[in-house]
Amino acid sequence: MMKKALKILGCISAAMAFVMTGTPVMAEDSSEQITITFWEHIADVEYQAPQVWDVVQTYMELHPNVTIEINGAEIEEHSTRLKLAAQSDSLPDLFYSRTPAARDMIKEGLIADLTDDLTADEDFVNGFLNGMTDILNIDGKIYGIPAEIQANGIWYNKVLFDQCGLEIPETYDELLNCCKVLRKNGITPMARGTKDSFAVWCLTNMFCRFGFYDHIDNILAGQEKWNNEDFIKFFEKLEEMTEAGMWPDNVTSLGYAESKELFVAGNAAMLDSGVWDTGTFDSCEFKDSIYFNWGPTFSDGVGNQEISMKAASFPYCVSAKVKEEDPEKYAVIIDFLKFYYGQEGTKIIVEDNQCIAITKYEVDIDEEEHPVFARVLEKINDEWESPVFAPNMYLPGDIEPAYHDAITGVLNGVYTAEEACDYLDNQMVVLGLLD
Amino acid sequence: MRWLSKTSNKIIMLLPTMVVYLVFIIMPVFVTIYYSLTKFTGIGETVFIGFKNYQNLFKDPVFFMALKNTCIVLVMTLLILLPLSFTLAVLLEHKFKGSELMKGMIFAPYVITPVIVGVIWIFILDPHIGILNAILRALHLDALALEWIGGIKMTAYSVSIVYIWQVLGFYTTIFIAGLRQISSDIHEASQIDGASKLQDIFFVTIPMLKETITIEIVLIITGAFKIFETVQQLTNGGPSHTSEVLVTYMYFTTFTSNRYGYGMAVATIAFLFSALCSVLYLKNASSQMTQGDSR
Repeated sequence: MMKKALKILGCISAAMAFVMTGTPVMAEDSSEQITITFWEHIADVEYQAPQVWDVVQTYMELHPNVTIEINGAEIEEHSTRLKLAAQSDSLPDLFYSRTPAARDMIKEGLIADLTDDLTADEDFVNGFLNGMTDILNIDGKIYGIPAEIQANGIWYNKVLFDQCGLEIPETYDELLNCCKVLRKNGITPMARGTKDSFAVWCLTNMFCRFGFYDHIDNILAGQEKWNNEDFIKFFEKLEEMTEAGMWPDNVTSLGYAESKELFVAGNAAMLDSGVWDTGTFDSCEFKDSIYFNWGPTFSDGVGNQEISMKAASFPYCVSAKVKEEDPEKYAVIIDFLKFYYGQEGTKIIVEDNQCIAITKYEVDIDEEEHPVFARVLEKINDEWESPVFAPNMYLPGDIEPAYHDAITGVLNGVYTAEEACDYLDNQMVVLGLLD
Repeated sequence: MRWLSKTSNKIIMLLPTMVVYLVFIIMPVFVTIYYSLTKFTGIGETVFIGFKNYQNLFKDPVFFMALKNTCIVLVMTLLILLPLSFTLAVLLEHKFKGSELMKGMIFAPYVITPVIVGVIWIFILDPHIGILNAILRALHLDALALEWIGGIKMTAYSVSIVYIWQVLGFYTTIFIAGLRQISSDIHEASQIDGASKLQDIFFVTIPMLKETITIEIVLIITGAFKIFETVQQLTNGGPSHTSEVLVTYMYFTTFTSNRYGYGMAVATIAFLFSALCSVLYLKNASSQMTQGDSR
């Protein structure tokens, strides 16, 4: 059996082991029963995020006096109930939050400042990959830790590419050619569903290759327009792909889940998604033929084209109320977070569930058993640069839905490139962002 | 009974209902209007910004799209639902074998939760996996196999049809109740006078159902302005907001876009339109009835 050691972005330090095993505290020895409420942004955590579920279950086995009640809801429902809870000062102890909402809650003093409890343990903090603790770092204070890594890209079913005599595309021109050939052979080139407007992950990577970060600060400051030469070029590429028939015919009535099904069923050659699907694809029948990359480069792109997306996702936060009113429970939560992001938790996340951790970890992968995971790790470890935040996470919360709408509007054939940019400029006014 | 006739006792009897009505119906209207004048993300303090949200509404093309779609639903329901539910009520009032079963079947969609209605109709209307286009293609009517949902042109109309299907039983039931209020002696008298079945319907039944029709029209107007779950499930307002109606857009701006103030401005506009249409219609209907009575 061929085994290959793959490092996840750096080495684990010897001191890390101390962090994981030598975590101080409490609950293990305490006989008092402690219940932590933990709200997640997915409806069925056990099925949809087994890595989270497994870490929680293992922690509870190791700490019989601790019960972690996971309560999952689909992202929009989760965001709504979180706001209602924030309004009534009844936030759960631990929760996933979008950063714009989290920033509002921090302003209101509803989210705990974790800085002292995390940075006191230098090795623990140093164990995170670069930029991961910046996702909710306000004035040097850490208010949240990313739930996962936001690594977006394109998945490929090489069986279908081979059938058509095609190679996995590296450039945009190759991608467009693949689209034409796949279409000719009656194969849907790229699975996608615009009913979930947020499911435009690989396209955000492409946006970064057209100078997203060169313009966005000026746009948000009202000194530039979305309707600029570079962004128009990006949206024109989307128009071009749409006209070439890159997406399923019923793209408008599909959601992300259905588009994934299309790919898993072998009916689409590519899928726009991210590394969070690694585990699913590693249990596919044709797992040996599933590949992943960061999407195509553009000969007429702007700036560095070797841009990947290895950014932090939205974070887990802790209620400030629990920190103030129940120090014992708060200590257990910190202990749990250290377990989750420590070696034991990371081992469960990486080795048992084939997910990418946000901490440094060295792992041996059985490439025969988990070929998809092995390929993903190669990409994660490549030299391609990554922004600290994915574009949608960099934008203020108000404009994020409009940003997604503009992209999906072009994919749906509702907007032209120019109209999509104008729509965003209009929304900047409507949202009062330019006051 | 004398106890009930005293005003103070009437007030005592009405008080619990009045309190519930005030707290859950009247107060939220004013709270909504208040929030529509603020900037509020759902967390933290509200900032009073006057009519800024309303000014922005009139610059927002999606709002006008939602308003247009709501009007399409309203017109479609008035044009189709009203005559259809009346016709069905007249037909079902005649006893025939299976008429009770038919009544049950027509009413059935109304008791199905709108979310399930949406799911059912996706499997019918989806341009690619839907049964409707499959049948049309099997009949070699490919030109008629349109993008019923998910397209830019037809989606609002398809939503109206689904909504009509869903509420048809309810409106038919109201008409049936209205028909039963008309004494059979009147119909017999008209027949003795030589009226045909059709003349009986147009010159006896419909005039005598004026109040029922008025109620139905008001319910249709308010119903069209409240339509939400069916659209949410069927199209989620898409593609790219082209099938958005006022309430789904209000939900989107409030809960997805986190603009509570703006969302409440949309809600206030929806409320005002609905109230205005209903009041104008009621005023017109009551003046016509008064004129009819004086004649």
